[in-house]
Amino acid sequence: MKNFFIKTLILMAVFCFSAVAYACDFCISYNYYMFSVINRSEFVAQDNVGFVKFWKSYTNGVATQSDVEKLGTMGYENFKKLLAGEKNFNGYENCKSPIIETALKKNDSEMIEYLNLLGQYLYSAVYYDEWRYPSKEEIAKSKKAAQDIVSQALKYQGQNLKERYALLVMRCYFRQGNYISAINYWNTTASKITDNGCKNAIKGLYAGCLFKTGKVEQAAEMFAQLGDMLSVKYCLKNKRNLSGITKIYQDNPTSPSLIYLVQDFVNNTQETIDTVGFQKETVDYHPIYRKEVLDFAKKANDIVAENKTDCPQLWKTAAAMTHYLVNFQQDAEKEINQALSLKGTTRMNDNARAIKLLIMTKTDGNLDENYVLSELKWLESKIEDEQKLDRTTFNHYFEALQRVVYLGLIPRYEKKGDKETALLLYCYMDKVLGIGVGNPDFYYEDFFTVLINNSADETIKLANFIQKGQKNALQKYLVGFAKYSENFFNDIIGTMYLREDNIAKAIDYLKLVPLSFVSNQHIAPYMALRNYTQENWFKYQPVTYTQENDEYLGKGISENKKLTFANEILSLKNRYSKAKGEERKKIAYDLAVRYFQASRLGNCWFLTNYSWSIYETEPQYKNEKDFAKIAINYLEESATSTNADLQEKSLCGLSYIPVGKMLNCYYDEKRNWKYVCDVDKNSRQYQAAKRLKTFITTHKSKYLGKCDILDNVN
Amino acid sequence: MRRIFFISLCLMIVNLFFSCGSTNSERVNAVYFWKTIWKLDSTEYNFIKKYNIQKLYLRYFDLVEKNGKIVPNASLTQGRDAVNINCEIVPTIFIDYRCLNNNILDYVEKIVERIGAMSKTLDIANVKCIQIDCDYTAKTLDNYYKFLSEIKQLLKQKNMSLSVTIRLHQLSMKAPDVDYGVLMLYNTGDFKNRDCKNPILDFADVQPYLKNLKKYRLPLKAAYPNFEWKLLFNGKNFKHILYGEDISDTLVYKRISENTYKVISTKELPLSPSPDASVIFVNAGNDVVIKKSVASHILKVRQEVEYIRSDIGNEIIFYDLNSANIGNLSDSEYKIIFGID
Repeated sequence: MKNFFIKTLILMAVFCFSAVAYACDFCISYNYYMFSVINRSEFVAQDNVGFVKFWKSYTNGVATQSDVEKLGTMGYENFKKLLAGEKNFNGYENCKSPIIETALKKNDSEMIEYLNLLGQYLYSAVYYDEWRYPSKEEIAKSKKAAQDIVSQALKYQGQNLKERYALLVMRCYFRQGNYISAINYWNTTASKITDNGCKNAIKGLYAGCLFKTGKVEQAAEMFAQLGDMLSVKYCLKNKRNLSGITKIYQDNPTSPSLIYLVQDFVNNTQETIDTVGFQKETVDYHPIYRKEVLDFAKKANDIVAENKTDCPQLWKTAAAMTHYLVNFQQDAEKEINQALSLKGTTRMNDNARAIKLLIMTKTDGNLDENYVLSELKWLESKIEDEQKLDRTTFNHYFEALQRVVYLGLIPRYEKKGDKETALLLYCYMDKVLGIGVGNPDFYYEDFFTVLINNSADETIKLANFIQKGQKNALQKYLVGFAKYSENFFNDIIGTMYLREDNIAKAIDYLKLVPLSFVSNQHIAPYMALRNYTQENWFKYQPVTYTQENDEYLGKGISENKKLTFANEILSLKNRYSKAKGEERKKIAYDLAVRYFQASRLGNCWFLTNYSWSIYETEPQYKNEKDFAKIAINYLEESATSTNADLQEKSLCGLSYIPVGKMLNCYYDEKRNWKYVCDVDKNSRQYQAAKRLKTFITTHKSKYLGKCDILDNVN
Repeated sequence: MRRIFFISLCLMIVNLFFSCGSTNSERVNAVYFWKTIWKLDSTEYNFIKKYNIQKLYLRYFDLVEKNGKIVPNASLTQGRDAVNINCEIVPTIFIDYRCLNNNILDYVEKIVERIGAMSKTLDIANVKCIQIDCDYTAKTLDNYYKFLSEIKQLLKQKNMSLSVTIRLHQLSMKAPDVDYGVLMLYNTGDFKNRDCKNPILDFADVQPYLKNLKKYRLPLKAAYPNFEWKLLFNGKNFKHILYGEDISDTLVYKRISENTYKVISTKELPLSPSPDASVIFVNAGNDVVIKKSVASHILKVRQEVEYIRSDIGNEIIFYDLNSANIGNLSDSEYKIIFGID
């Protein structure tokens, strides 16, 4: 049971707290960002692979990332010694470098000269957070070194190392804080150099210089070109709104920053509306925000009409998605259809297609099942494609599918009364998400969670539908994921009838369920170890973790206790209906014991349910009867017995059952979080306890010793 | 109108009161400077000139614990242009409390050496005093005081004195053996509690500690706030302090009362381009509550502490010298608090 509960918690955590959901304080499930023209995996730090590639190639595949880094960590003296060809010095083994060795071996004077300058750069930096704070002279020396390196680097006339010298120049300018010179150098020289592994690093420095000189938008543009989305995000942190987007568009209608900003705006809109709707906020900011969103949608459409953008599909899809979010459904449908025929990248096109499916889940008109089916299959293929990408941490289409199904299709079909398709979609998603795969314990699947909410009669209809009742291609496809046996349905229907207190019908179904099926259910250990004839108020029947998982799962069941229980109840009720006087009261007590054990408060909850939760002590499902209250009614009858033993046992039961609870226990903030229990003297339980106390003052008790609860009753 | 008249009247009365205390010629006006780049803009230069700032407590570096060692962090570096002011500079070191659990006594010489090296590099001459800022507790008091004692001895050899910051709750503890303390009269309330009216400084929060002030055996000066906080809440739950956030962006923040803004558009605030940097999530429905330094509370607190200990009024210090904060109090308020006619 604990295992089940833990799994439920983990799954809830997975579904509720995705990478996106960290963005909101208390969000709905599955509210993944829908708009994705930049893969979210690009928002993690990227390794600079160009550097290593160059040195690897130079050393015929020998140099590694660690060798490249070592150039800057081995110490300047060691560096100089290595470059001079020395090997007999202390520490040589630790700092020997295939890069330097190759240059020496090749007698590559050009490279040796470059490495010499590189060493000067690497080891002339000053660090301000070491214990030894640099002196004025050292700082000046570092700045002079940077200047000297620039002067020497600018003299290089060769071709092979042009790029690397350019990088040195940029680095030195940056170190000096000489951003203007760096920008000029980029504009006149560095931008024209062929990329041989470190052009991106140079561009990154150029972008950094732009940022430092206040040219934030240009910096963002350069970072966007580099795919450095983290830096784009930081640069544009104050531009992530309509006015920021408008300004950047005005300056450059084809700026790559716009792609990021549009995605960001649409996803933030989605997040805002998802969160707002859930929080039921009362302040009137919603209409104001709605205006901004509508203004954005209008702007997006205007931009497409102006024909200056190179990706109209991006803007039209953004307009469609934002209109969808604020319930301008007709505009959304019109725009998304237009978007699909406009120019954009492959990812933009895929983005539009996925969003169209989401938008269409809210259409007022007919939603063709064949269309839904084809799009679900397409999303499945996109999930596979996305998984093949390098660096993929998130699978956007996997998330998009969840949002479309859980927040789009399922609500749509439920609203239209098509319970069957909705149920099949739950089943489909269980399989797509891999829940219960390879595990016979499927009771935490969404399919089951939805199914169990129905009445027994409704479940019979659903079972018939799944077995042979599908009407269209979509249902026929989805039912392929519903691999549930007759035993599964017979067991559930029988259990449902049992919880509805419809015992005869319960027996009709439960008798069809083989013991082998019951033995493999997660409730089997409880069934093996617990006895429903034992009064819950006299003995708790524990099941240990080991028993639950190792000892009794799959074995140890000699009877289906649901069936034996049902048969006993039927027999007892039969006798009860014919009995009179004390005989009837005795039977009433037996019925009470069994009903209470089978209730949500009893040890034998597995008779009528598949899980137990401290938060679910009252009937939860359709037509479910309150077995605890039924037990109380029987106990009230048996408590009137003239037999003292029966009377006492009944009063114990009535005092024990926490329905109409006498104690309200909580951690009291006002009393320094002390755990306190308030007594409700008007409660049913308190009144029953009072009767019990009265009884034991006049009778010798067979069942009670010291009771601190009764001590509080007066 | 009536309100302005009333406030002016109060300020005049208070001014009269303070004018009867220490004379202006005795009192020293000072500020803290708490940035990592040593440069001043025109607003900051003007502040120094206008209010006759004679002393500047300059944060040199923090000491933090990293991988079991104590290391400097966020060290002050020289800006492009040299700072040209005629103030006594007091190098100030902030020590993270976790360092006190370590062998901080082993770092005494290093700290003093470093301060000397930094002063030389930053062209800060005639350093007569240094200050240590640390939020110690009763548990770490002994270790910290031993540390201070050793630093003081070392500084004495160089003809320098030692001061420390004192927080209100430390007034009930034994005073350290240093030359003077600066009583930090700010951050007195619980800023995480939305219902706390003046978490920066409120006389009601200070008052309970004043009973220990008279007998606290250490010469004291006082530091008062001029900053404000933008506090992000989700309902009553505190989320973050928003540093440097532009809340005039009406597409994100809607002003709903004088000091409260409702977030109307979700955004995440990356604190730096680093992938390891934390991100604050500002969500639609959150509130940004502005808490300010209030002159009337500063004056009230000042009045009370100087009534108990007149020596505290010998030096008035503001936290901090920052053009972003200077405008939070008016010119007349600064003049009253500094005691300038």
